[in-house]
Amino acid sequence: MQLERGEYLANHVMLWMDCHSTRDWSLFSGPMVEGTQGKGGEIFDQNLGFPGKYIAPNITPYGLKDWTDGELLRAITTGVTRDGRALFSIMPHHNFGLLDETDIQAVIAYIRSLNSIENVPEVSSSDFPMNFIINTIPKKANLTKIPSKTDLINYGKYMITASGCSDCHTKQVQGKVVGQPYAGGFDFKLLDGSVVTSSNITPDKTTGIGSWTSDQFVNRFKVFQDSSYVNPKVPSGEFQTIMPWTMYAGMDTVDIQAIFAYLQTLEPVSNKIEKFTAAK
Amino acid sequence: MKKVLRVLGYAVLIILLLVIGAMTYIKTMLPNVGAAPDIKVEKLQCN
Ligand code: HEC
Repeated sequence: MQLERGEYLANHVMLWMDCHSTRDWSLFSGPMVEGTQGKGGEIFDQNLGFPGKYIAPNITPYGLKDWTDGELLRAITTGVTRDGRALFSIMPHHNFGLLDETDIQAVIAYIRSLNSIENVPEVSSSDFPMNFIINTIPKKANLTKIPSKTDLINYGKYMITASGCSDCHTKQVQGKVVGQPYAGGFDFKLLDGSVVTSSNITPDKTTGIGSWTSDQFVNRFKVFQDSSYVNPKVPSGEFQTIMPWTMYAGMDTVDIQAIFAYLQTLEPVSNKIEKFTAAK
Repeated sequence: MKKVLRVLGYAVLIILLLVIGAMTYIKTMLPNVGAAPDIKVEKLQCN
């Protein structure tokens, strides 16, 4: 039960496997390379607009052998490592600290069960002034209980917190939030120099998803789950996205519906987004 | 004139000390979220 829940959350909701595995960016939406689950080593650095060089650590048992479960829980929910270092908020500890402890424990059980992979990625470092600011970010966790599925909106809010949609769909510059929640506009530079920009997912009728139906929203994800779906090759300069469609596609339909229901309760924000700008 | 300069000098010194103090505090005392909890996640819960 617990392991299954953990596997579900890690692969389809919290997407730990999205950042902590090797991704194949020659294919649409950058699917995970089989056999690299949890290995770490993905780099988020200045070239991508980050205020330092952040490298996803190895979260297979090889990388976490010295960690106690309590140290993991603290790192995941507050952003402080075993040796007292602050984690940068690409690792969304600010979201995970708002979840239910049983869910966090489930994911801990799951990553403890991953195949051990020998890999020692470089340790992350921040540039000035982030090397100071980063220490002021971690906060005590504020764990809650997961709302019942019948309380659709609150349940949706919980699931959207767990899945970190706001981290990409709220505009940030240099690690600082500058846009309205869920109104999109966060630019992500791709390896070939093209830029993909996150969509406005507030219920604005013209620039957001205000005119979408719940089924349309669910299908937007579920098309990628079709067993006949293979991520096509994306030639340099053509539409590519970091929105992890194929991983989220495995989310339960009710969970996607709940997220949609929650999004529809937000204040509509008018913000027109140009999704993709090809490299010159 | 001299007095103004002296006061200004002290002010700069104090501000500098405060900034160094704050930076040292941030580097050495933070982050502080308390000790890691003492929990054990059950590995074999197949019910
Ligand atoms: C890693 C960053 C990232 C995360 C996490 C992310 N998105 Fe996205 N999303 C994007 C980007 C970039 C786009 C625009 C490109 C595209 O359509 O693929 C996008 C597009 C979308 C679209 C399409 C909107 C349209 O107008 O076609 C929807 C709907 C969406 N995201 C919903 C979500 C939801 C719900 C979540 C959380 C479960 C989420 N996203 C998490 C980056 C992200």
